[in-house]
Amino acid sequence: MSAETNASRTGNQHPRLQEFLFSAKRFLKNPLTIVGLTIIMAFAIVAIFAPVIAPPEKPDDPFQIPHDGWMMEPQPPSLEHPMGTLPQQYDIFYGLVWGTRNAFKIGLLIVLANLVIGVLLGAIAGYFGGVVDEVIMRVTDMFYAMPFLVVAMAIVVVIGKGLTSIVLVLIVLGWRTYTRVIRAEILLIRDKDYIQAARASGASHMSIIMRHILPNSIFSVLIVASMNIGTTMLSAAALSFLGLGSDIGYADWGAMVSEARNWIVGPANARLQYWFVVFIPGFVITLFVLGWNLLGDAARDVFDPKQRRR
Amino acid sequence: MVKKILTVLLTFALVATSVFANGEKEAAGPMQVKNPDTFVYGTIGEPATLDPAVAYDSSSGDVMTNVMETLVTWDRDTGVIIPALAEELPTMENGGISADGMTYRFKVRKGVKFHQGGELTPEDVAYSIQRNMVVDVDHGPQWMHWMVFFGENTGLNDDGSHKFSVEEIQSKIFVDGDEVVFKLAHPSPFFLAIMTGYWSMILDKEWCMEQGGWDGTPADRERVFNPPTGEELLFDINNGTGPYKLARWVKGEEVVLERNEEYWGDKPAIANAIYKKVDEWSTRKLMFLQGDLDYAYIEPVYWDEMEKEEGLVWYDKLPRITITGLMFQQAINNVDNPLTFSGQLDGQGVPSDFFADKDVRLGFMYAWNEDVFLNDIGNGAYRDPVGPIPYGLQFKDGDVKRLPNDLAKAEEHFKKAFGGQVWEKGFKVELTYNEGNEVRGGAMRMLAEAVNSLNDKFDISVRSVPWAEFLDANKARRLPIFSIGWAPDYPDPDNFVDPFMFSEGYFASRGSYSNPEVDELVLKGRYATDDATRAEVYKRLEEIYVEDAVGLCYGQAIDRHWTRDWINWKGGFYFQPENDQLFNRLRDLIKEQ
Amino acid sequence: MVLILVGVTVIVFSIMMLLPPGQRVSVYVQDERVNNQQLEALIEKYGLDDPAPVQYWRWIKGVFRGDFGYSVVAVTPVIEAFKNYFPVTLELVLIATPLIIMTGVWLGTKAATNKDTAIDHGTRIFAIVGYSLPTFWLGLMLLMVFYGLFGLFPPGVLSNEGRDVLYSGDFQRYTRLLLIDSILNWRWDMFWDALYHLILPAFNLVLLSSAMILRLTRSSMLDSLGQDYIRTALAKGASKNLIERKHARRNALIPVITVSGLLFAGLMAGMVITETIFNRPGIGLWMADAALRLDVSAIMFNVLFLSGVYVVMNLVVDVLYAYVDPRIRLS
Repeated sequence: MSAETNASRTGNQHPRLQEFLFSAKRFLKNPLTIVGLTIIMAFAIVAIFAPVIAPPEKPDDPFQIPHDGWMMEPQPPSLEHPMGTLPQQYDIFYGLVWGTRNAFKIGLLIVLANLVIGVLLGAIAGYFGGVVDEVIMRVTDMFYAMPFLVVAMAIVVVIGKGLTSIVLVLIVLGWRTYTRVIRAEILLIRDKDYIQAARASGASHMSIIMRHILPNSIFSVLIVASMNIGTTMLSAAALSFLGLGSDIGYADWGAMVSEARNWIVGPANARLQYWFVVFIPGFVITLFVLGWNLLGDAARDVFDPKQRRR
Repeated sequence: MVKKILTVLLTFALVATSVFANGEKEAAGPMQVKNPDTFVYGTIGEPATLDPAVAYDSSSGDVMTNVMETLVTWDRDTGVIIPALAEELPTMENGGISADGMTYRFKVRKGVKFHQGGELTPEDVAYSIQRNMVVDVDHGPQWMHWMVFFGENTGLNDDGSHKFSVEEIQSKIFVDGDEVVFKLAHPSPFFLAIMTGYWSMILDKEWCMEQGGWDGTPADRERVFNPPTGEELLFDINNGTGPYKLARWVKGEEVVLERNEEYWGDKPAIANAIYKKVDEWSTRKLMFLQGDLDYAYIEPVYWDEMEKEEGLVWYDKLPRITITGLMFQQAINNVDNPLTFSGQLDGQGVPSDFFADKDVRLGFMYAWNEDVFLNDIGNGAYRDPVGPIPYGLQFKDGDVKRLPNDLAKAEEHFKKAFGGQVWEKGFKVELTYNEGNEVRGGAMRMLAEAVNSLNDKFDISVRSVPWAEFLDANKARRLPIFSIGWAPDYPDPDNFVDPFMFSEGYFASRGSYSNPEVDELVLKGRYATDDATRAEVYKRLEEIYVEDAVGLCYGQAIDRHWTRDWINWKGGFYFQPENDQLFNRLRDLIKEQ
Repeated sequence: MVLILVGVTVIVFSIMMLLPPGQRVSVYVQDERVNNQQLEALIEKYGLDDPAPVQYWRWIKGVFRGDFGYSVVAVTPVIEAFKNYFPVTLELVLIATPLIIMTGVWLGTKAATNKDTAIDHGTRIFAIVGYSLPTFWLGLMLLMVFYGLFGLFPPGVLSNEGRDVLYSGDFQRYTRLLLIDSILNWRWDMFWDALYHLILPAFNLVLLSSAMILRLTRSSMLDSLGQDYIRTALAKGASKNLIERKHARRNALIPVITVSGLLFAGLMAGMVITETIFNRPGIGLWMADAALRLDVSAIMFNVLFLSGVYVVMNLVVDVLYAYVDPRIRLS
């Protein structure tokens, strides 16, 4: 869609680049962007400097949270453990710091993989049409119809629990949105003149898809993707919470919150005694997801021409 | 709009605080008894079935013990076996036990009525035990009957055919005049103990047949044999003689019992009882604190915080006869086994026979720190059993000593293992435990950390796995070290040395442990009827367990029972290790301020 | 449609079949005191080592006979379990869906008509935050504060007294939906009891899910406010309020209807976490148990049922769509 409007615009730069720069400027001016960007940058810094912020005891296995004895009762924040400890005295602060790396891995890796699978399938379906289209889209329908969480749980149980399995399962189940979006985009431009022209000049299917179709329709998919990084994080955390993630002692935010389930109510006269176990890891997840969602929201506002011209 | 939201929030806060203030006022005085006629127990899980031929888990047993009865049972105070539905205890003196100790005769109590009106007869008793053996589901409790009556651990041949005909069963268990006769395969010191279990509960023969149960003939055997889960006849219907009747079982929620007003013995004080499934700990805790539960299952981890609560009482240091521990796999299945990595002694894995080397096992044993386990991981809920026989059982010898926690000794043994190769090359292995069991996980992690600290080339990691994966890996002998836990079927040392040490026992066979001397001793103890021989046998077995480093028995559970302070006991509190769940003591509870 | 359902069940069934029989047998075994012979016997008994197509065929034959097998985690046949669990889930969904839509539409309209004002920004932040909160965390926090601290809004579906009434025999269970049955039995105490237990989980769902409706309403409201005929009406001096209600909102609601149908299906399937946290014995809790313990018959039934709900809701939405928007009917 955007390609049409761009082509008619004049300017000394390439129209697509011009459009991009224009949008980028607006994007960076948006206060939402600034907040989101700050949050994500902060997390990125924590992830990059994890070894400095929380030096691991065993550098070859830094995701293993160090623990201070074996006592089961969580201990409140102290000088030694600034955010308190989990059962068996795993340090929450350390887990959060190193968990940041895992969080980035989960979010970006899954969305990227989903994007590749979804876009490829959608492009093939939209471009070729006919039986290919029919088969791919019916399979996509099936993935839409599946109850996501139930199937995800079953698969993780089948392939073995752990963070890797969660990532895998979300890749397998998450591509469906992109397929539909990109197919719809392609159907709009498939029969446009310049595509026909390329076809007539003997360009191969592959090169037409790659050089003409995808660049013109990928924008809307990217916007969807930017919105999905946060939700993907939430799905992964939910699976961890249900007991399908890492064991206690591994730096994974979702697994840390799942520890909180049993510590909601403190002893008499201090009902909120274990607040740090419940509150802190969940709050960090929320913040991380919020950061991405702010960015995604702003990106949609700015880069989606339909939204912008309001 | 902002105003609106503010108003809503403010109202909400006001309501909340006013209710909160009320709550505080209430907390000042003692809480009123909730549901004075009903005893409510909140716990994890629910019964699997109420059929005595099939049930083989303590949740089922807890409920069944209230609605059905056995011929004999445990005395609440002295812990000896006393008659229940039997009129008297058979002994050699009263002629109830034959001179060779292989025939038992029971007179059946008169005037006992089943809940639906039938009267108890000797035929009911004989039919019940026969029927349970005929139904005989896979993985059920009936092996105990096969063991005492036929001297076999199962009623089936390897090809799935029956080892014994119905006629043979009926020749072992039959009615003679007004007596029921049981003919055993061997004299057995624990036959009566087995007859106290819920697998030996007495049903109404006529009623069972009316419901479509086994008709008592050989021809009808296959129809009722080995039903699929949930399709057994007495799955959720019941007609016993117990002090309570089954009112309803709302699956996934609760089992409700009501008092049997016609009960032949002392009538219970509490009219109704509920066995409630509340899996989530936080919910269970709050319900208990609000007085909606009278008794709650509380994991040891939370004992400290619960002590600070008001309105609760707890009965401390109740020694259960259970053993928790670890067992080494002496012949690890290394085919497609990710847990042993390379499967070689090359520093990147462990070979199949890794734990067959006694020095390796001893290295692990010396690295174990029992004190840290008891104090921190076990949180005071365990005592050190040293060997596989728990304290509180006859013939437990307290003199056998555990190997001390001595890292230097551990190092010494690792250096000797495999001619020094283990120490030189190191090893890499992954241990797994069944998820949700953090005490077992903690124990494994502690052992792993201690061994890893000896040598940089030692690399043991620990991971939890789902039940399915655990079971399958255990079945295929892929687990290098596996957690074991045992609660007895019948309270006799035999029921512990068999699984833990006997080459055909559950854990020993699974861990490929076999020692001819042990096997001989186990059989000797099983059939010996004099106490001196048995005492000697069981002491020797525990010594061998430690010397041979068969496995690591690290905990005997010391339980606490938590109730609201309005729950009292007829004749004072008592604890029966043989029957250690509070819910099946319902008949002796009183609920009042 | 049927094709989609068959496809879904084939996919999920195949995934389950990837596990060796030795793992799938675990659902029939409660504790570790079981030897290999017994395990083999169980595998044999339930035909777990038959080829996957044979097992699928056995399952689907059962489906056509109305026999969905036995759910071990529910200790009852699947159909029985469903009858017990489904009303609990349905009740919450039926309460939450209108609340979510109303909140979303109301806030979305406000935002659109007050574009670029504080209200717009406020609702937008509300939406983004709602979108970012992990369900389970919000649920835990709500429980921690309301129930833990103040003793309000207990988890579960009824109080003990309420349960006694429920099973007393005087209480007729016409629909098995507690709220409706309470009214039919004229038991207002039961009604309030059930409602009291619904408040926190419903509130949780509203906070999390209304964001989606809000955003949608806002953008489609903006769309239709930008339409020529609205501008004309405005120019002619019609009251702004009237226009909002009569013209703009009506058109703007069309996409909202689509999403609402799917929201209903999504809430059904997404109940796993809400029910786990608020201890409501509905299909979500059942499914979580079933998936963790590999209760194949329960998993398959729920997958089939929830996919069915999704497919049917899609159909309903299409029909509604045609009804509301005449342009589609014509084409």
